[in-house]
Amino acid sequence: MEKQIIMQKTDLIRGSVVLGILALIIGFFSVPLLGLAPMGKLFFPGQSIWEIPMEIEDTMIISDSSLEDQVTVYRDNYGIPHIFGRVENDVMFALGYCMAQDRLFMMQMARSLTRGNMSAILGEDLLEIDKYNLAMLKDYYSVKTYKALVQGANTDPKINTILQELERFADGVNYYIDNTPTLPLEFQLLDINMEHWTVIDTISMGKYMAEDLTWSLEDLYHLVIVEKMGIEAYNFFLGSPRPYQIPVCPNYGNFSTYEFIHLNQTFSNLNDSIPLSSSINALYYKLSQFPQEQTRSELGAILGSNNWVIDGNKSASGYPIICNDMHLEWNLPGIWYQAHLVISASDNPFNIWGFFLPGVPYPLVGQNQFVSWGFTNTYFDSMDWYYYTSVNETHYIQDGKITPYKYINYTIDTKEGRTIKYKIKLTEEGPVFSDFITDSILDSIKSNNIIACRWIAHNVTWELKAFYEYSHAKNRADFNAASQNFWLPSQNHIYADIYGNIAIRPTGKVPIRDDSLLDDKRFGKGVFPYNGSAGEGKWIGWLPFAELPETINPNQHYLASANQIVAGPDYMNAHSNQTFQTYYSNGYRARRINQLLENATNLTINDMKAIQLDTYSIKAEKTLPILLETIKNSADLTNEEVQILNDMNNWDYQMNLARWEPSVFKLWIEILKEQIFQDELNEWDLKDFIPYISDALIEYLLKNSFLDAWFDNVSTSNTESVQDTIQTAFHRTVNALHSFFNTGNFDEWNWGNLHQNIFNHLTNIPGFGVGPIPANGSADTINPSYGNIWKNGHVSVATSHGGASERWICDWGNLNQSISVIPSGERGIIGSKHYSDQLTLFLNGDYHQNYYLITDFQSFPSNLIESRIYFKKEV
Amino acid sequence: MNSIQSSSPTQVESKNLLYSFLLILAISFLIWISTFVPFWQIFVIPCIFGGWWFKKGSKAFYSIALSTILGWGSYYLINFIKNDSVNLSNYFTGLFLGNFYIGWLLISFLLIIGGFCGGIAGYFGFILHRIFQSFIEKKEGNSSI
Repeated sequence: MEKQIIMQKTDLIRGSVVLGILALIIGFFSVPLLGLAPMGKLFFPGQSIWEIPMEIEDTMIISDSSLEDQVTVYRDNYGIPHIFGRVENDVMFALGYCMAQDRLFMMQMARSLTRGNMSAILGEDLLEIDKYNLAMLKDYYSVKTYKALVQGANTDPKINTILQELERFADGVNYYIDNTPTLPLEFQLLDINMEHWTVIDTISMGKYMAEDLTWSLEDLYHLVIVEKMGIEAYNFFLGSPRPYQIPVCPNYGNFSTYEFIHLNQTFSNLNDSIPLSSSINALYYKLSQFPQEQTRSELGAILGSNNWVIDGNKSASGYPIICNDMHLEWNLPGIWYQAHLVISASDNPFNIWGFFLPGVPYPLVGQNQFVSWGFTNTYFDSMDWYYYTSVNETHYIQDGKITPYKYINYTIDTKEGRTIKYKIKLTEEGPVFSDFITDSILDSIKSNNIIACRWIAHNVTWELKAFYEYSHAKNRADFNAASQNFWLPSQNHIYADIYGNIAIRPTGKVPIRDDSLLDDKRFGKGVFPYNGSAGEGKWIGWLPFAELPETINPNQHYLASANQIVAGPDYMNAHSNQTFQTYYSNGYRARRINQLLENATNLTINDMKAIQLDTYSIKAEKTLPILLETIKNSADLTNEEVQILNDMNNWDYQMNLARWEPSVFKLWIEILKEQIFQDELNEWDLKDFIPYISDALIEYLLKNSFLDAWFDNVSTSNTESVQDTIQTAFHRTVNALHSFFNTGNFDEWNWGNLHQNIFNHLTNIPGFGVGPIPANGSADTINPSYGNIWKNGHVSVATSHGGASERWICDWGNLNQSISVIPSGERGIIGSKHYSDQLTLFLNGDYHQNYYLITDFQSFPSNLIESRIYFKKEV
Repeated sequence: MNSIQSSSPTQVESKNLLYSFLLILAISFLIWISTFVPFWQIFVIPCIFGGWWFKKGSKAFYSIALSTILGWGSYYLINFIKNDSVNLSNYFTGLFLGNFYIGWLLISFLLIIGGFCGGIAGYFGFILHRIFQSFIEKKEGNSSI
């Protein structure tokens, strides 16, 4: 009996211990860790992540009463949907379904960010980001645009068609959401749901792109730097035109290389006309530290693009070939979704292929059977900042009068279950941003001054109508009519059609400012913040569409854009009151494309591929010989340095990852730039300005001796010559590379060890991305990747987070050979074979066929079909 | 320990009835709670019942652990085949181990955790049975006095 009692006690203790251990383990796997869903829920049996279908079922049949007719979707060997249907509304439904299958998380993130809804899905930590996004009025004007669309649908049949199609697209997305048992991995990891997609969400994607490409604090920064460096230096660095620009539209003359330094030379005293500037500086620095602005400034350098077109005189096929690669941030999944829509309506058939933004049912770039078009960013200045004298919490001075603020009220529902009221304060121009600065030191400044902005996206905008019309255009006239609806973000529209026409037009709304209150000689006009309290710089209209520069079928038989200046001196002089671009690229990519195309003939798709993949540095071609010539006879060179200089003479200027010359050249230029400008910048207290200085200026300095004073280091008593400065930079380059690679054998200083590409997952969760991978090229090559290798006096690896976000070549002489590639994959499902399959192609410089000429599903080769979805009308 | 063998047929009968009653109660309970408790949490309850019938604690542990590994393994296998999700395990080892895309390691780890949980639950079932038994015996002893 006693023994039994002891045993019972021991068992009770054992049982408790065992139960405790069990509870501990289960507990550990049941609680969220590191902000992710509980590990047990994710990995252990029972609705775990392993139940997420990686691939699409071989055959699916979807019946729905809303369909009017049958739609057949065949996905090809890259998972790209080819959608065949008779009724366009049904095709939109199918497209919505396919996009949701592939890119649901991306769509959720993009709309939540744009519409200020992040704290509802991820928690209150993101409340400030939501407020910032709401204050940009992206959501406000998306809703307004939707209302305008609904209203317009009553009177305009085309708007009615578009609205119906957008609704059917949303229905397709929502059909998927309602009928999928398991949401993609990201939803499970973050423990979030997917609410229904709406037409407003689709509209908000336009604002998303507009923010990506046109929102900027640039005007505020211009004021900061001009105050510090003076107007003459400002003009030297940022005045327009900048050196060696070959304009997008070639029919308005060319800039001579000297012109840029002499234009816009006379100005009144800026400091007199902007009395509040010192407080603007303080507010600018605070605003630019806001996380969203910091990310933007880090990514700013990678936004660019190339497009070009040749006509039948230059192509082997006798028809135009159009090419486009847009440069954006790289992510997995990538920003573009490829799709092929075949609408076989008997009265109006269309065969549309293109790059879609997930959430938008029309291609932004692509082709139909009549026309093709591509984009590069134009950088039209479509944003202005205004400063005002504040009166009190509720009033400010506008046009000299005490004026009450207007307000937009929002309620933000957070994941934690709270409802937070948020009030956006508006001046006559737009939302007030100085309230985002929470800093007691700045309180006194803030109580006297406020900053607000007016932005192109603060309007009901019609770019969705333009996208619909592009994909349904039958000729140049249709395309032009469509372009008039293209508000934002401004793009250089390259064009080729089946009739053999080629054209380019920088397109987008350009605001006309009322500068009548400004002194005639006052430098500004949209470049610096305006004094809103004095009523300066009101937007009084838009530049008429017909006045945008345009080139059609030029004598040179080709057209090319790579974010350079839009037009030559004839155009600029005729519009001297107008600000077009306050930023544009240094022009190296445009120069190289022009160099490759100007004398070429008999060009084929393969030649076009070679140009898109080109990593030849025209910057090196133009500057390296001068650098070598300058110091070749110097007595102060070591044997190693002489050897390097001699061998550099034989370099082919290819930024090849397996070569050492790119490492030396790139570092030499970076150090030289620092030596030329750092002394002046330090004197001006503008240490952070270096990245804003165009490398084309270095080329200009090297070629123009009247600017030699820049080479002198103003912080020393000696006068350094051009040769001294170049040579010192060279010494430092060799020493820095020597110590970085830990070897004097310069054959081992491979560019690929210093320059790498990375493709992160959208959430930046490591492990779901690809890279870093050693890469050819640099920021100035046609095939670009970015990053500087000289940081804080040391060599470090440059990791590029962006570059070509798609490559597309379309030969109108042989449409079946049209090819494309994206640096990710069609399916944003981590683990799918199409998650990063095209990235492999991309990195190898390969492309895939678009199968554009397959216009009915019966003739689709069965070996290319990976899966089938049949959409049927439910009876 | 050997009370079942020494019990009379009627006693065994009534005990089986009790067990069946408890089992039905438990299964109903499981169905009820499984609407909001994930499977991997409620699986310990059948493991406890499984362990109940073993006469040696170590056997209860190993057998139930092995059964769990087999059960979970089948679940993973079926899903990998059905959903092609084996790739996903590679991405997760990449995430946890940094660029080591070896999914079988993660799956092995999950199976070990599952097996351990199942085994412990089985052992707990065995202990529970023993406590229950001695409690019955104690009661029987008391009633005979």
